[in-house]
Amino acid sequence: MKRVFYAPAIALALVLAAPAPEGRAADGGPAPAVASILSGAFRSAAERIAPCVVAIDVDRISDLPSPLREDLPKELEELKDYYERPTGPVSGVIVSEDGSILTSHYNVAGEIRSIRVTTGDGRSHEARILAKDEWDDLALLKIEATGLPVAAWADPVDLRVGRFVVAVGRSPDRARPTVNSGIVSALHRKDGRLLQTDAAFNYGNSGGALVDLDGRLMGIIAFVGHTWPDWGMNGGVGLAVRVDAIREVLPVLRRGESIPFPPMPFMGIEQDVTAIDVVGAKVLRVVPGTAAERAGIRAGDVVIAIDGEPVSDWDAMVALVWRRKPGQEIDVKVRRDKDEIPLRLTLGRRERPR
Amino acid sequence: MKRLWRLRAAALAVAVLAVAAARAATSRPGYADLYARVAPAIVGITCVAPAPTGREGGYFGTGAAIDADGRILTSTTVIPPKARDIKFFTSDGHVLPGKLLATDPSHELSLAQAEGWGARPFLPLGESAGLRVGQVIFTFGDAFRSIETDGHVTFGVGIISGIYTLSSARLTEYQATYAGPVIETDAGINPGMDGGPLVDAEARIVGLLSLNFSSSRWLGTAVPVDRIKGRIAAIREGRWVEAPRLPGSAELGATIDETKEGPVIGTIEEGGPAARAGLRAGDRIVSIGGEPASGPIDIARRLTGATAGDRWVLQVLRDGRTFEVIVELGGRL
Amino acid sequence: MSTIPHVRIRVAPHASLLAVALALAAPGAGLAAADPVRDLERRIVDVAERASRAFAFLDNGSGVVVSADGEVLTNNHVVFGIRRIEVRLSGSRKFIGDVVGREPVGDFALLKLRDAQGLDFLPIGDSDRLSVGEFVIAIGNPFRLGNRNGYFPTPASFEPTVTLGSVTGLFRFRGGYSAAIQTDAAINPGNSGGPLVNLDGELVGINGMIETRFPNRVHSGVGFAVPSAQILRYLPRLREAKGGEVPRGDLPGLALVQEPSGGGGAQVRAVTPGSLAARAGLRTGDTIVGLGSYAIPGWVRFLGLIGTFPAGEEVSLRVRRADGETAIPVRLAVFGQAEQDPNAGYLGVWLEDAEGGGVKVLVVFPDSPAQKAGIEIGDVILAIDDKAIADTDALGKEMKAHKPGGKVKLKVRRAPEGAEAKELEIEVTLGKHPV
Repeated sequence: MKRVFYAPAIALALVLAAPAPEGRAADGGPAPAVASILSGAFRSAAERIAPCVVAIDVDRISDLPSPLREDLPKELEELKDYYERPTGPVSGVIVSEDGSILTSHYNVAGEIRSIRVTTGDGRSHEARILAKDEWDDLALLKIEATGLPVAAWADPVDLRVGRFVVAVGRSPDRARPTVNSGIVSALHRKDGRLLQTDAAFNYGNSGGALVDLDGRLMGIIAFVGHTWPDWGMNGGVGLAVRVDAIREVLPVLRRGESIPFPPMPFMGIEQDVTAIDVVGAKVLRVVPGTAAERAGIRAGDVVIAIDGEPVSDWDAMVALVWRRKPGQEIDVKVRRDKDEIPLRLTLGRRERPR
Repeated sequence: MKRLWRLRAAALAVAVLAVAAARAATSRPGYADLYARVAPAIVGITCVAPAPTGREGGYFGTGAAIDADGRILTSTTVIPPKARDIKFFTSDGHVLPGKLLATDPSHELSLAQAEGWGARPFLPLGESAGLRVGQVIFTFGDAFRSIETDGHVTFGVGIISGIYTLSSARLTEYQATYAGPVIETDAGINPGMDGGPLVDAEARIVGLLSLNFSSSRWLGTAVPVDRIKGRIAAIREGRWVEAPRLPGSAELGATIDETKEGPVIGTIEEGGPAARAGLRAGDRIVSIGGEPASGPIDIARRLTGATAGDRWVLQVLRDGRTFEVIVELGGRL
Repeated sequence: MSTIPHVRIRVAPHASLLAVALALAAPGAGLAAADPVRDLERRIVDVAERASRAFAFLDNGSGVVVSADGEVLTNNHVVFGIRRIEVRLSGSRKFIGDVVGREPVGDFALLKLRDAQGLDFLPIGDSDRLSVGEFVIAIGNPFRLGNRNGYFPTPASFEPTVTLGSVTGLFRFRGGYSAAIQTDAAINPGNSGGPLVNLDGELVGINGMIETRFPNRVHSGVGFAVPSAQILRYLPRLREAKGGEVPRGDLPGLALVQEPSGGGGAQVRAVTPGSLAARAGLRTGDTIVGLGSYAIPGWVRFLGLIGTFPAGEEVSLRVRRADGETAIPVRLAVFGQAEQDPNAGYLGVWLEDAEGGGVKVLVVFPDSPAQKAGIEIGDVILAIDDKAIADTDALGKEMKAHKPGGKVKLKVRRAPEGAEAKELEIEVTLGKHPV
């Protein structure tokens, strides 16, 4: 009896005697240990990708109009600093040994005089634009070089919310990279093309690399502020083009083919957001001169089906319409008072979004 | 007999579970021990001092005790030259009177003495030379006056995001006066945290926090500690000589932006030297004293070498016309 | 039987007990230290995933499911002026949520989803066990990126935003947020009402406020959350509030020395005669060093923590005097309300002027004479003993004439939702004002 009692006693002794864990970040280890583990991980990820990150200096004749200029409320006028393109280099990522460089479309938007790329070894190269994908905010540049280090791709399967990310760009001192860390905040923004992160970036990070702790490219940093350039304020909401979206368009861009803006369908109705407890999509207002007006939709109508598919709410309707093309004719059934009215609508084309 | 065995086994299982559960529940990852170690050495600061335009103003910010005697390291944006009525708010709920020892505006450095520091801890100065981009780093301070109002030292966690030389010196917004190599971090730096320490995981001071934000690099920066260690030692050992008119005390009263064409005036401080000389926002500074001005850093360097009262002859380009402007540099005396 | 089979039989269960013990203890004992960063990363991913499943989209803001049958916590300002709201959960499931109760000063509210069961929910943890410096996760919907963002014409993905940071402060006094958790996890417009989660996957706060150096309410490193300990104290009353407010507690009649006291407690400068503080036994010169289980280092902490208790709650103050320490119990009064005459008869309701005359009952205190007599939230008192009552002032004056134990006849208009209003006569035996 006494003999067999020893086993669990030994077990308990081992548990109690085990030293307080040192160097384990997952539970309550001392701060220097946690910090040193994370520092090491961020630094090694940055070191792996930094040679593949270039600084890009763009000499511009004219720029895109600031997207916020018309909308800028009077109170924010004096802060126009925050909405104008800052000066200084932006970033790009080397995707082929012979000098194909991915960057953001915004970086090379407007009328350009010349583009200079500074690689990690400090050498300066003249670059030209090979092709653009404006919807994804990507552009492919080309410099003449050989033997350049190429970024490794992350596996899309490894993209998970909560994973650490490291953003690497080029600082005002072009020879040295800048590094910011954060986590993946969301994975499916903009129809699955963008991932979101809370790593704090700057204007200079635009077009740069977002990597995991293995230094593999999870995304190209495309929208630096909260989805549109709000220079001077990154509040921990930043977007990057996902690795799978990049790999899908890269072969086309490499051929020198720019990818046109996808045609986006447009109806011309505004949502009544106060209508809860309504089955269907309740229309607040019909925009004059649009497809919806021509089809006979009126304010107050509730859209209950598109091409025979029932519509439970506004978001469901947007999802259905999104899959269709401008010019396509669709059947729209609306409920008006007690009647169900079938209408025929020819989808318009959306103006390009900001 | 068997029942007793089962009871003992059950009791042991419960004991083991309890220990494991207690371990898991109390130990969550983070930097709690570092915060507990550093916070008692941090103070909130208020004082009254003359502003560049001559009027007096109230100042607030953060400081850190750097030795057992209670010398407090802070910045000139918190305790400017000629400050009076200096108060230190400690994390344990006391208010200590203080006196200014010396300032070096060219490095935003201000050293003061707290009375009655007692046995409170202090932070040793570390080294900034060994810092690496990507390294986890910490900030402490009086963010939005958290120490003065709540007795709370605000904590910030981030990494070193860059080590470089400032390209756009904002000379009067937040009154930052340092231009040179900086440590940039994404750890929270907010109004009130200037003068506070940038701290590594071993609780050593590696930088002096500054509010030198710019529109292209909008993260916080710190003056590297290696650049101020010598000066701090000189002040402590009584070797620091502060004359009423010191090089490095000169001010222009304007912010300078970097543009492709050259340095351009950003904002003008009302009543300041630039305003009095008739300069306007948007003016491009072509040359100073006949020598071409290449950018904001160039101008900042020349200011650190100038003295309040010096007269600068500027060639200015405005609306396509070039003309001469004479500026009498102001400054904190 | 030989002893060997005996030993084998007996060792086997012990060996398995040993294995179980080691397996349980392994995380704490560092016996499986493979890659600590990956472990931390995995832990964050797990907590983010579990908490996201309990996340609720509330139009302009956020919320979190805290029970399987659909109780949802959010900020009061997310549901200000709203009685029912459409709520979307992960997977875009839709529910209608009714506001059950709210605390507008502390800025939190409880909703109940209709026809909900088996939902993923977050267990509520103890914010009093947080340490400054530990990691936390915020879940929210900043800039409405998850539901109706307006930046892209693409369909909504109903995916919340997850951000990581640390606890950077505790017991922060920021107005209505009187004992808030401070964090540097990114919190932006749209995060309001969403959960702050510790790395054990427990709800420790509801995010609702930031201080920022940017002009447009974009995060710059300082965010505040209502602590779970505060919400837990209100939860039973929120459930009973029928959509109304649960008033915050207060200790009127206490003037404190408003200087830093070096951690020595909150010193009483003066006590108003006849006030709740006086009736409870507090005196000039007292130093309050404890409130319930909390140590009190100074006056700010004391006032901040009082606000985390609901009106009517009994709290115990630990008070230091020249002759030693004593415990003083106090039943908290209603924050922001003028003190009623303690000698007058007591009804036990919280009132406001009703539209068109009379006074509307907002709160009925548990075990009060009003509750015993059958008065309900929403009732409008039109007259006392046939004397018409125009407003709360008139009622206060009228009540002065009645003593504890006296009976009054109230004419009450009651309009249950969807039905016709009717007038009732309710007799109430007045009680004594609780101290």
